Amino acid sequence: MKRGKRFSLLAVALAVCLLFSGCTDSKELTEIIPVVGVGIDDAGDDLTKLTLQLGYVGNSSEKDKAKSEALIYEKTGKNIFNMFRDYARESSHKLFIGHNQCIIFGKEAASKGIKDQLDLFLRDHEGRIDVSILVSDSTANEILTTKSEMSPMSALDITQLLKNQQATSESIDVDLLEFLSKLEKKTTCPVASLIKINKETSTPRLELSGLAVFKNDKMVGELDKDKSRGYLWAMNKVKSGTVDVQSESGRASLEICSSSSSLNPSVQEDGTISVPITVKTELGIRELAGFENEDPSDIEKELQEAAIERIKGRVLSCFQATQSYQADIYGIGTLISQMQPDKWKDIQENWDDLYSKITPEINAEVTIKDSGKILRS
Amino acid sequence: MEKEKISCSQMFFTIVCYIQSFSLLMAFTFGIAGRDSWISITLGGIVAMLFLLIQLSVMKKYPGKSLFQINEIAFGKWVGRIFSLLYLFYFFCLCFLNLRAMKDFVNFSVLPNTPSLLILVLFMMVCGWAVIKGLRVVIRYGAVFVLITLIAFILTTIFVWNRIDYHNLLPILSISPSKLLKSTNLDAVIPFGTIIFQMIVPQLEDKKKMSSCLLKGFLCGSLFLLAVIIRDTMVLGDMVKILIFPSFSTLQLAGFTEIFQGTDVVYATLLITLEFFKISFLYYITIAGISELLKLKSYKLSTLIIGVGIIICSYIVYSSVMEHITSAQTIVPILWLLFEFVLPSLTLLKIVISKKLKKANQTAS
Repeated sequence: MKRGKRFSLLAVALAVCLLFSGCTDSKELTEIIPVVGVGIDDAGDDLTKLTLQLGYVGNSSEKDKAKSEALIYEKTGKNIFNMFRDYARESSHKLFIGHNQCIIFGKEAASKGIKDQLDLFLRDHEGRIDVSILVSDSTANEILTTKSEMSPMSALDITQLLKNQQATSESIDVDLLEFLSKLEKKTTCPVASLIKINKETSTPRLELSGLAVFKNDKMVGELDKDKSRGYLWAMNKVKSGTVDVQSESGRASLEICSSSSSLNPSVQEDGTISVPITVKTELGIRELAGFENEDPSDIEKELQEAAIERIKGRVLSCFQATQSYQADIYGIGTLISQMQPDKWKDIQENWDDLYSKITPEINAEVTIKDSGKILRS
Repeated sequence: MEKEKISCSQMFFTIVCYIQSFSLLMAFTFGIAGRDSWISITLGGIVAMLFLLIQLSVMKKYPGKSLFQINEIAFGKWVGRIFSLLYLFYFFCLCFLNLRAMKDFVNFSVLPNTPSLLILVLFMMVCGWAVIKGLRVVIRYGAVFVLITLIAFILTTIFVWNRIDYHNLLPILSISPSKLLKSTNLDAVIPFGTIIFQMIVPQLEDKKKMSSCLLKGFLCGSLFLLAVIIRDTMVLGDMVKILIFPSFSTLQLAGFTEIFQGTDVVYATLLITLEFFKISFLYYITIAGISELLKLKSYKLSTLIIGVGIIICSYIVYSSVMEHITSAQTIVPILWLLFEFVLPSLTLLKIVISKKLKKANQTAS
């Protein structure tokens, strides 16, 4: 009796496991095609041009084929979700955006505002909030259709490029969460990496070239790589990179070994806004030219001063550039609203005006840590 | 229904696990209070602690008596039974509303194409199986679930460490007082509703430790909830206000290196596990209440009938997720106050007054 009961229970359990284990929701690898990059361009008349880069999923014998091509899907329409679904009429495979690496906006689309287009990627259940956001120098379509020499899939290339930015600290990986949460803060303006195609090389090559500055959700300007470094210095996001200095007696290239910075804006009693930016960094000498017959300690001092000037100059030029766009990309307004909520209420209204009149107090502390393997110049 | 004895530690873990299970579905609070949710959780916890103290002082007057028996003693046979029926309705509602929350998540992100009725039926089959086996089986794995959740919380917090920014909690108290009141009310009854534990208190082995293990469990559970709320706010910033599953999004960001990315599958597993614990516990309480009220000898049939009732109710109660959230933010917290606060304090008042009257009568005679 008991054995019979157990057997029937087991049979029911097995039946449940085998028959109901998500069969209606199964997604076979052979039936889906992962989207690796999404490009969004403006097509005029309130229409959007969507470019999708799709990864080819094949078995191992087809590996060479997979390496040599990236599938591109283009469509123009009003709603992105609709265009995604339209793909089903043209293909035997179903689109899967869970592995999407980046969303690239064309320059024109970015300057018209991108919040509405991002809605889908936050809302959709397959979409991830850590997908990178980039702005193309020309059109997104051009970026995604480019086959670089490294990989036919430019979207994967871009992800790698963004990761490598830690080595130069001249651009930054901005993801969907960061972008949207800055938009949510009203006065803080988001930034996104700017990507362009270098056509001067024999095969076209993708390169990151600074940052795009947004005001609300519309792109208003660009920061070149020098200014982008200035932004990263101020935001304490510099991981590594080089500082090139030039002085009367020679030139040198210094490596950033470690760096930290602080940004503590406050509203003074008399209503003025003080923005102290302090950058502390440790540099190592990696290349030195000139400085003939000079004492190592003199060289150190000279390099130190030159590096301080260089850093200060970059931070200031970036700050002034954002002031001309009236775009508070540092989140200074938000920091004040967090630390001094009472005073913030008075100045909130004309923050844009106030921001463009701020004079930042930039300090840089530089220590030269080592001189590499040799001591002398 | 057979009265199985449970130990103090089992009681403790039941409470912790019950409160923990809410940590994964906090869109209700976040939707109202935004980044100040941790304040409303703290205030709500304090208010709920007061409610718990009222409930405890009722229980202490009649040690060993169940909630329904106390009702009958305090208010007489018929009024007491109406009170018990109201409580029963409350337990039933809690059960199908929580089931609905589970279904909403699973149907949205794990199995979008599966008919939702199938998910509900299969889930309730497992819960019903546990309920038929009795209270001990229902709460046996409480300690394990608590530990797993705790380990998952610690690990995922380490994995999202680089995204944690305490500035996201600032400025403190930027919401309007009416919103704060609303969210405090919500938090005091929805994650911290403690009246249900009064149903299993008579089954406690050591009656002396009753208050201490209830209070300790409550405290540990609410501290865990607070920690999750603070972590999610620090990671997601102002986005917590608009996301329906904030913890799910936090875990999507968690990970290290390229290989180990996106621990959101952990969220789905935890949610289903904890919801199983919570729903089977509530299911058991409903069945136990019905058996006690109707003096049933066998509860197998009622398990089946109530199970079907729960499935049907949770299937038809709301037409959409938005409706669920709106009702949980507006009408439900006020309604639940009746069961968590008004009825217990009425009972306490009645007991105290009738005792005083008795004493006055005795001295008069």
